Amino acid sequence: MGFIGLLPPILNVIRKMYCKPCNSNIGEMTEVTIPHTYKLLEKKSKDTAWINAALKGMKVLSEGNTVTAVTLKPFGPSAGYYSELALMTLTYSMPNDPLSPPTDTIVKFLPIGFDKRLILDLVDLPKTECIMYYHLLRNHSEHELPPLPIMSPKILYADYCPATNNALMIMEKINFTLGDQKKAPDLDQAKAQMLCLAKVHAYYWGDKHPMVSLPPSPL
Amino acid sequence: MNTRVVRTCTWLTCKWQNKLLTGPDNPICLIAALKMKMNIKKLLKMVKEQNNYEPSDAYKKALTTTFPDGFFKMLQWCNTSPYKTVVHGDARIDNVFFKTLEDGSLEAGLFDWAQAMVAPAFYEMSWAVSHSFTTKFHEEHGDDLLRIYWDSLMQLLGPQKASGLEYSEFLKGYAMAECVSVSKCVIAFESIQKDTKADDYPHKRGLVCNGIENSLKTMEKLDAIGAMEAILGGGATAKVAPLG
Repeated sequence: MGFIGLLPPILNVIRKMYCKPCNSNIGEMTEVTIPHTYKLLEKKSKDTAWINAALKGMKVLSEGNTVTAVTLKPFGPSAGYYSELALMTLTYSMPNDPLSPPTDTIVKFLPIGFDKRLILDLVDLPKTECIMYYHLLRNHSEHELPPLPIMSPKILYADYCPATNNALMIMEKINFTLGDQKKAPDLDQAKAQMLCLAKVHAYYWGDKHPMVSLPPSPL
Repeated sequence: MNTRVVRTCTWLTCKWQNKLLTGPDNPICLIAALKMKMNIKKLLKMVKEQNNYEPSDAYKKALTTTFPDGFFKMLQWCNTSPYKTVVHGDARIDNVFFKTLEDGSLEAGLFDWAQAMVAPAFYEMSWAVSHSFTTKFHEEHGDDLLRIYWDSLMQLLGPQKASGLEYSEFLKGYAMAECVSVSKCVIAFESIQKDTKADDYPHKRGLVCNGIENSLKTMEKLDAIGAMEAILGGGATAKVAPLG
């Protein structure tokens, strides 16, 4: 079949992007509409209705806690190569919520531009990231698994729409030191990186992961 | 349009796409192999100019023949690996963050899980080790770092799960996976060449060159050609030299 095999997935991606009747844009996991661009989220952030519905769907707030105010600031168009980022600050009615939801968050949108979006959609990257954050980093207790033994940003919202491939993620803004390939390598950091990967791999060892349901990959 | 019809169409097209991703006409394999054949020479030229490094003639040739031609068979071989787990998929140091603990030691965490998948652990490690560090650092510490990873993994898995897992076999997969890393570098190379006047072009070019040099040196050291030929010839074991 050769490269003709690329046509169906490409057409599928285009259909999902532009086919209006399919464009329900309802999130698979929270059943809340996904404001998948900065402009859409800005509109939804004029009041707290959307963010409260989204966070309720994610079950990340304690009973009685709600978001009372939202501020959204762009990161700039080139902040991420395969994503657009924004800063979102949330104010809660219960500042001492035992689930300690983060106040400073990063919003991750899909990239602008057809070519980037096509690459992402062909290999289901946004869906994968949402699934990983939603099921593995937040919901271990539902699968009777102990928590993942490594740090990862706390997720507030991660959802995608299978009909349109649109996705959106809201996660904790990390205040720790970020690894940086531009800087001179640090042996202690490299060792910590190796140990961290060993922990992740040992935790998920084996190829049967019914709770993960990751999209198929060539490997 | 009826929602049920839309859902059925979506399900069918997704199944089609999924079948392609895992079938013998996998478009990702085809693209990776084709791009490798087309652009590896240009990439190696850039590495020669930037890092004054070039692989041996045998590897230059294999990068346009043996490796891209055997790409899919190699992935099938990876699929039968006993080293499978959920991998992050892009565990370069740029996607890692660090917290200093009270005793002064560092604890690492991961973000940006978009490339997560069920894959052999050596696929993760080849990309993480060869594409996080400078060539000097990789040469000095790469083997030790991989050994630290392996020892920690074996300890965490415990004797029952670790039974039958061999470092020498893991290294064979590691050498194979460097071939996938090279193909990812080729795609990154194409991407950065689109805008050579960008402010961050020299930096990105440096990262690609370091990554490819690290990958190719590892492939040569571990006899990736021998391992690949054994897989293509249906050989059960390929002789791979131990690291260090």
